Amino acid sequence: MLTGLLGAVVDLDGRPRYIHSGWFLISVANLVVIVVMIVVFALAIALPFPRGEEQQ
Amino acid sequence: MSAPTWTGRVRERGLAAFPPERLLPDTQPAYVASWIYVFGVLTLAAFVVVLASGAVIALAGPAWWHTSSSGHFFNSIHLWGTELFFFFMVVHLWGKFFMAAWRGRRALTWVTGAVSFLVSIATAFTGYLSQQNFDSQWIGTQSKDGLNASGIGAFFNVLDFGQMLMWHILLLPLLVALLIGGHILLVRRRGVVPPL
Repeated sequence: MLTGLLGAVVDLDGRPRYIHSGWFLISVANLVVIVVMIVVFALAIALPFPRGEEQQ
Repeated sequence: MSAPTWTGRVRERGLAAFPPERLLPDTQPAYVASWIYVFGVLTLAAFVVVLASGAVIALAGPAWWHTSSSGHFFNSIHLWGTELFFFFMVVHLWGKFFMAAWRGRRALTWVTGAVSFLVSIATAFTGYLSQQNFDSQWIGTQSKDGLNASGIGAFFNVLDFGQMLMWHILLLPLLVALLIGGHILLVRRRGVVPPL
């Protein structure tokens, strides 16, 4: 069921979709990974790190 | 006075550079308590998963990883482990770049990390060439002209499956492992870089 739901969102078996404008060409999959990396990087800086009691 | 044998001298120098409490510390500076400092060890964990899953799919070969459910499973673990390896490594790279992690005599740490990244790309590339499917044939035929034009084709022929498989499962992983090992030893030697 989970793979079915994921497959409905991201079809990895179909033709890949691309974003194309002039010289700029990138697959949607690669763009999504890059955006997620940027979001994770921002969250890693912004979110507080849990500390043990002895360190506080 | 130094030891009279080369083994003794290596031991003395090793202990001087890496005393046990520095090699395996049980505390870290307070500034390490940040999520951005986690991505180095996440990269290392993903590398272990990639090596272990690669060892499993090497046991039975392409006739297994393309045709059975368990083969597909371990093949997918190997692929997604590699995806996570690069994901974590790039976030680690960004974090270290923006805190100028080459400060404080850490230039060699930075360089070994950067070279590890480049060699990892070559390792992943030979992995794509070793898939034994139409995708690997496409990648091989599309990349051969550019690589041959650089002159590297004399000893790195992307259309030679046997050669690419050997680069992928022996030479390049060994190089990546050595680079990562040296990188980690340098981090232990110089300490984790403080934030800017």
